[in-house]
Amino acid sequence: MSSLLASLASSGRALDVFQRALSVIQDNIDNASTPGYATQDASLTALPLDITGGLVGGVATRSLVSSRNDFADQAVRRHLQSLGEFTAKSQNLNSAQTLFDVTGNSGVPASLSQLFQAFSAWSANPSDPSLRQAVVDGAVSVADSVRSLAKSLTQTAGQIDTSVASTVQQINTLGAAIQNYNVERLRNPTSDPAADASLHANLESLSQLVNITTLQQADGTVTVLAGDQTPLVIGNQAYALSASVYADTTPPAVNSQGPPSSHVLDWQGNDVTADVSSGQLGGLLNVRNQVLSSISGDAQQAGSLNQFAKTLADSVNQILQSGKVSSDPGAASGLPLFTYNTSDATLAAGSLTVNPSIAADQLAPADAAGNANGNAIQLASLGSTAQAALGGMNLTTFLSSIASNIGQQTQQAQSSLTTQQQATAQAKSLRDQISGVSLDAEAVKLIEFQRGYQAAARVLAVLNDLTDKTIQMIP
Amino acid sequence: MLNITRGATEKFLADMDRTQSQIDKVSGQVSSGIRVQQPSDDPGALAEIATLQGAIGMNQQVQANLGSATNEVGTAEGALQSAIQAVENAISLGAQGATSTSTAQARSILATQIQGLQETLVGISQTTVNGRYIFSGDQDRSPAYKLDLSQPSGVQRLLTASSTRVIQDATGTAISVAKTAGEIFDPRNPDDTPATGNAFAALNALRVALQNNDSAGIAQAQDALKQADSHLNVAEAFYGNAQTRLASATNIAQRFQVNQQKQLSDLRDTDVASAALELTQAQTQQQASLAAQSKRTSMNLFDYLT
Repeated sequence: MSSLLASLASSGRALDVFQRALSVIQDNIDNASTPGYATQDASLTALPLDITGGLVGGVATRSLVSSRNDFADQAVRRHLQSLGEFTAKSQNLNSAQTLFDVTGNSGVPASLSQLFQAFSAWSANPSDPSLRQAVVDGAVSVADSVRSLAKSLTQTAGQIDTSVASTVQQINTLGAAIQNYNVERLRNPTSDPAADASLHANLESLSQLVNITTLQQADGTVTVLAGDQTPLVIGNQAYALSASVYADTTPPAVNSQGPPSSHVLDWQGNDVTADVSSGQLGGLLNVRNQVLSSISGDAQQAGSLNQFAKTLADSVNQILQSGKVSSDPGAASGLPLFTYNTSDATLAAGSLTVNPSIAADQLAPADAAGNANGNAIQLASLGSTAQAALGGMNLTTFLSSIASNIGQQTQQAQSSLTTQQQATAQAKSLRDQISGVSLDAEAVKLIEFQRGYQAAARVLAVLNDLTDKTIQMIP
Repeated sequence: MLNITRGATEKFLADMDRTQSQIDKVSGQVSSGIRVQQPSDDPGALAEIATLQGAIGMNQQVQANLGSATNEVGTAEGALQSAIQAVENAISLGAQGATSTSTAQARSILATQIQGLQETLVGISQTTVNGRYIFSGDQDRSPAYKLDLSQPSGVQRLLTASSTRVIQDATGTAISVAKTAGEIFDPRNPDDTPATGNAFAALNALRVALQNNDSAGIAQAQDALKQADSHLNVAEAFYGNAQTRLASATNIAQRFQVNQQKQLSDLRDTDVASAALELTQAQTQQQASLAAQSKRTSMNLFDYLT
């Protein structure tokens, strides 16, 4: 009798176990599309069976077994970091390269070409007032387009600074969410698939924003570092990053008025920009502090656009000032055509203007030797004259090299982005094969546990009947 | 095992995005005819493209300069032919006055005609093209001479500017295109006295000799006029040679332009045939990907369970 009752209880426990297993299957199916979710399996264990000793056996459940594969997850996060970096680079470089005309129909290239043509026309008739005025007008057009380009680059840098701040804010928000996970995990050591899914979804989102290192602690919490050493989340504490824009002072600034750079600071205000090497934040900082600074300048470099503006102004002015306004005896010396702010090497492009005190008849077409259009001819060929200040390139080629450089980097970023999109998708696919929910597998398990439940229920019914008959036998 | 693989879906979408980007890019190239529309389209070609664009623009300006100079030189050549005609007329009139039967009165009348030729020659020295005095040298905003019969040469010299202006052709070679009125009509010795070939002085000498009924003076003036005629022919030859050089330079500039345009087109413009093929391939690939994706079964075991 007592063994019948024990078997009855064992069958009841089996029904409970199968019901829990079915609940796990239901949870898996419900979360098949949940970001970060890993398939859970109910782990069943057989209870001891000893007929002679009175142990009736049975089945019990242990803790859930997660199919999560840390290696696969880390691989996905690595690819997401690169994806975020190349996405940011591609988008921002593509935006910046549109500032550089390559058709020759607008912008600095067009105005520069027109200036040289104005010099050439003037050389054919150096005393013509209208052709002199055309030279001045051409110079105004060049100065305006150079300043406009410099301003547009500054605005682009400002937009990236805003994006950096926004990205840092997103990082801090995700850090706070991970902190909440850690707090909950410290309070309740039992693993929760839902919280685990949320954690890993946040880690993936964070990976796309910045290069991170994750460390699983023994107490179940997750430590997250930006780069290798900047804390974001440790235990129940979150450490916020901040964004700032200021001029580098280490090493000492060469250009005291140079444009500031974008920086990321840790929770203590230390500059950790160098630690940010990947992710969307890394891509933004690269475009802002490397690519754009090489053109607009910063505390350490003049910038290629400023080099161009300075060389253009200096070479034109040098030729004009070396000559005379005409080949007549006693003619006045030429005046400089361009002016710019010489107090800092990074200010040339943004301040390039036509000398406000020059009139068209003060231009000097005659050279020092007295040739009536010697200077004008020299100015006309300036576009193809090698300049030592530009590394031996002429003004036209140097200007195109600025566009070429940014074009090459854009091309590389776009190519890398395409490759990384494929690689990331591949990594996710591999990860999903390991830990993603398979409806077919869940359906098979469902049938398995359904049949098991049905069988256990049938056994329970039989045992119940036997127990009842046994009781009926009692007089 | 069939998985709900978000990764596979993302891979498909990434492939479609890449294919669509390629289609968009090639379509833009075909419709615009331009392959290099932004720096990233071909960074390595930008320097050469910019150089060619600048060279084409400058070449066009050079051709305009050469055209303007050709007009000026043509005008100068025509003016010199008129000057030669005037001097030859003076020689003819001088020959009439030199005959032994010519009376003082007749010579006086001839002197008046010579004065008219002097006015003509001074007028020729003041020839303008587009507001420029083409025989005034580098000071081309003012005439170089005016008639002044009180002067020994019958003219007053207003300017002494030389002509240093040159026209540069497409190869950078300088072409001299002008002589001054002083060089043409009023050559001087180092002591500033009229030199051999001085047309102004020769004409004035003939006029004075005819007025003074001076047979010896008339004969001397005739010799001087013949030398002036030769000198003017040399000057005319200069302008003829300049015309030839300008025509040759214009021809070279035009051939340069054609060559540069072709080079630029080869670098910058779309190879329409290749682009159309690439477009067709990309569209075919896109359609095949969509068809393949649509064939992927979205069914699972649950669809068969009752």
